[in-house]
Formats: sequence, C-alpha cells, structure tokens
Amino acid sequence: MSKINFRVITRKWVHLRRFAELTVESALNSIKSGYIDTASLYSGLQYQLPGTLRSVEKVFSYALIEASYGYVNKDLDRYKIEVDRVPGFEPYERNKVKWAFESLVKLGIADTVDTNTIRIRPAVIDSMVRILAPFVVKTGIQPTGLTLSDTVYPYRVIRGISSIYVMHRNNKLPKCYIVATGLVSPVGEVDANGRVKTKSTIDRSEWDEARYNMALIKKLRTGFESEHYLKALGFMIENGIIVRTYPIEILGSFIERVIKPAYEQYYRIVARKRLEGLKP
Amino acid sequence: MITGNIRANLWALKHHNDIVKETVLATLEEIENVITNKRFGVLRDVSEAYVLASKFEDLVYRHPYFRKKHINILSAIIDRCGEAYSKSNYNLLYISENVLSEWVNSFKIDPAHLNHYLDPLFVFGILQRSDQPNYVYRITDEFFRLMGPVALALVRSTTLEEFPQMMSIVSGLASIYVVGVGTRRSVSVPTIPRFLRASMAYTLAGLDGHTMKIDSILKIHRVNDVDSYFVRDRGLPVELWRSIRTQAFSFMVRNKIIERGMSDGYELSSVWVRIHEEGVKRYVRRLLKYRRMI
Repeated sequence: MSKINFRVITRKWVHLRRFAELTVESALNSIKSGYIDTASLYSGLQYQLPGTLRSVEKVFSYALIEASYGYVNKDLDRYKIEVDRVPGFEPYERNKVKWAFESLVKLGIADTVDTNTIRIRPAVIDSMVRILAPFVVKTGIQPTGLTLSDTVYPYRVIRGISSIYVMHRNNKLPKCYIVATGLVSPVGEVDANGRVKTKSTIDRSEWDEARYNMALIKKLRTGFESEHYLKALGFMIENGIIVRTYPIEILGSFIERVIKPAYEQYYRIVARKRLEGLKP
Repeated sequence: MITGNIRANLWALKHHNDIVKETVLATLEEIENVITNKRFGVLRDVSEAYVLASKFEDLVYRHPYFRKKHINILSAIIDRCGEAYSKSNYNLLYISENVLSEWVNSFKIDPAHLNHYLDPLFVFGILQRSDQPNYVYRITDEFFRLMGPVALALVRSTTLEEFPQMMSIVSGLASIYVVGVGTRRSVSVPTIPRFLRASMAYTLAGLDGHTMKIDSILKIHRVNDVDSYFVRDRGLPVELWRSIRTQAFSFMVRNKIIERGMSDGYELSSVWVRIHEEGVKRYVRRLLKYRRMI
C-alpha cells in the first residue's frame, strides 16, 4: 500500500478531520492507560469549541476534582454537584451554572437528580475519575474558583481532561485544533509496510507545505491566516507542544502518545476500507 | 521511548564512564554523518542534528581546556568559517602570519606564549599545519564542514526568529566537536566535564535491560537512586556531588534537555534519549566483540 504522510492528510478536509479525531481518541486512550500528563497539552482548548458554553469547563473541572475526593474517601455524596456549591460564580450567575449542567447532561456525562443538582455518571467515574483520583490526592488540588494558580501544572491537567472529554463526547473539534494537528503531522509517516516512523523535528519547508495545503481547503479558507493558523500557534506554544522554534522541535510525549497512535489507527482504517472495496 | 516504574539500572551506572564516551562519540559521528554526508541513521533529518547539537550549548565555554583567550581565538575562527562558506572562498580557511600577529595584538597575548593558546586548537582538531607555503596554519576540513553552513548566519542576514537559535546551534556544534574529538583522540586530560557525565548518567539510569530502551521520564526516585549510588556506593564526597548535581540540572534545564516538569518527574527530550540508546548499543557491541576476541 502506498505511503501515508502529511501530504495525504493535509490536502483534503475529510482526511484532516479524521486524523484530528483520531488524535483526540488516542490522547484519551493514553490518559485511560495511565499517562495523565498527556492531558496538560490540551488545556484551554474548550474555549475554542463551537457551541459549547464557557462555564462548562469550570463546572466540569470542579466536578472531576470533587468526584476524585469522593472516590478516594468512598463518599458518594461528593459525586453530586449543587448549583450553590460551584465556586467561581457570582450569586447572580446561577443561570450560567444551570446551563452548564444541562449541557453536561446532554453530553452524557451526568444525570439530573433534581432542578439544582446533578450526579456524575458511573461510566465516567469508571473510566476517568478512577485514574484521576490518585493524581488529585497526590498533588493536593483543591476545587477553588478561577485563580492565577489555574494556569500552573496540576490544574492544567484537569482542564485538559475536561477539554478532551467534552471534545470526544461532543464529536466537535475546534478548527484551530484541526489546523494544529495538520501542522504537526509532518513528524510522522507510515511506510509501505505499515510501520510508523517518527522524528522529533519539522523541516521549515514541510511546515510551509502543510500550511499551504490547509489554506487551500475550502472549509478553512476564510480567515485561515488571521484566525485558525494564529489560534493554532497560540494553542501549541501555550501548552508547550512546540519546544523550539528553529529548527521546529515538537514535544516528545505529544508525538509518542498522540501522533504516532493516530497514524497507526489511520493506516488501519485505510487498509480496512481498501479490503472492503470502498473508497478510502 | 517507554515509561514505567524502572528502578535505576545499576549496570548502566557501573559502566557509565565507558557508555558516556561511546555516547559522545556516537553523537559527533551521527551529526557529522547527517550534515556532511547526508547519511541518516539515528537522526532522521538535518534539523534533528541541529537540535541535538544545540543540547550541548555553552559546553565549550566551561571546558577546562578553554579559557577566555582561547575562546576569543575560537570565536574568530568560527566567524571566518561562516565567511568562507558564504563567499565560497576557501583561501579564507588559511591563516597567515599577519592574522597571527593581529590575534596577538587584539587579544593582548604575549607573543612568547602564543603557542600555549593555539595548542588546544591543535589537540582538538580545529587547526592544522598549512599545506601551502605562504600560510602558517589552516582550519581543518572536518570543523569547517560542520560549522560552515550554520556560521553562515553570522554573515548573511537571517530572520529575527532564527538568529538566536542559530547562535545556540553554533555554540553547541563547537562544544560537541571539542568534546567528541577529545574523546576520539583520547587526550590525556579529562575532556568530558563532570556535570555532562552526571546528566548523562541520570539519563542512562533509565535503561531497561530487556528492550534496550531508555525511560524518557526522569522520575524523582530515579534521581534519588543515582544520587545514592554515587555517594554511597562510589564514595564521592557529598559536597562535591551536590555541586555536580546542581550544575548538571541547570545544564539540562537551560539547554531544554528537560522539556517540562511533571508531578512525578521531568520529561527528557526524545532526541537526547535516542542518542543515548545508540551509545548503549555501541557499547554492548564493543563488549561482545571484545569477548569474542578472548
């Protein structure tokens, strides 16, 4: 089978979108298998999500921390969240919290108990909180409102997890994230035998080619330079995915835990479609 | 790249002196291969070679053999390489009597002691005797081939974003060249500074014996294990080890060998880890060869 590399991925919207989705999945898988630190690369992405309330991140992060303490202390009451107890909101902003509750219920993360209370679903506790709880207890994070310390390391992990989970559930991706995966995609390629090869740097010409290819895609064409590309750069630099700008060096764990599994998955999908006689 | 709860690998720590030597040799060889011959092995790209070189930034300025005036001369040579490369004028690589006297005047060197300052440059393969009668010395080809394409940035204008990084690559290439050639020629004085050896030992301690891969996350307990190995088992004075340890960590952080901190450790750069794996492989290969000879 022919090679799969960034030229295949960044030329068409379908391929790019599928690849970005696979990266989210592989990030989630790596978190589920215990590498929680992958999540810190995704913090702050939720604000770029279309059609998602900004208060969801605050509420969900709070819920995750509370549930972690509940999981460790075997206190089932802490899985429940009441409107009045969520920090970081003024009393007159209770409606915002309620809207966030609604969207959490819609995403299948929580169940409604009564009008002012929701409870985190057991499935979420099984898959996420079980892994998150030791981390939360070890680092001693407290569920406070938005402060300066939210930008430092342990909080970034929680914010990242909530971003990834909401993106995965919602099945919507911000365009800046899609562009960012396209820009990073030159670090890997699949050769004809199905082996994934990765390197840790991106050549300037490859970067420019990926950028040029994406700028021609119809869905990204409007405001590519001014909006999607700039936001993607901001996302990558803020979360430390770009370590060095010349030569462009990408963080090792991002390549190993996100890009490489995504390429493997992508290859598998293409191979399966070839076998079934469908258009890949 | 693997991660797991590996305790410090005692075998690697016990043989760390030899493995560090092999690693330094491997680094220089791979960088030379990629930049001059375009042969790709462990490093898969020219830019990866530059990234690896920049991990050794500022090492030459802290080298025991190179002091202030040596560095002055070395910097002049690097600039000369850049100019020669950009103009494709290889006569600039030759150094005449005039240039020597200019060095003496401008760097305030006693003419009787000039040889003392030029010696390290010969030992580490930067200068050699000239083959043309009207010149005294010339810059070696190996050094020029490495340095030329990068030192170009000193002569030709590059973007503001590239320039500082280029300078770090220049300093890193000079450093790894000096350390590597010193090891290759087995110079009698120790050429690998202790803090570099220590930071390499921290990396090597994460070796997994079965898969021959190195854990890319430097966990806290691994750091503690290495510390206790050197202080308790090897019997280094505690205060000495404290100082080496601090220098090693500041070196690793400044040159982005440690890419980010995490709850239970530090993440090491993947190129750095890969070249160490190559060093271990070379060392094992050499051991097996030696055993077969017996």
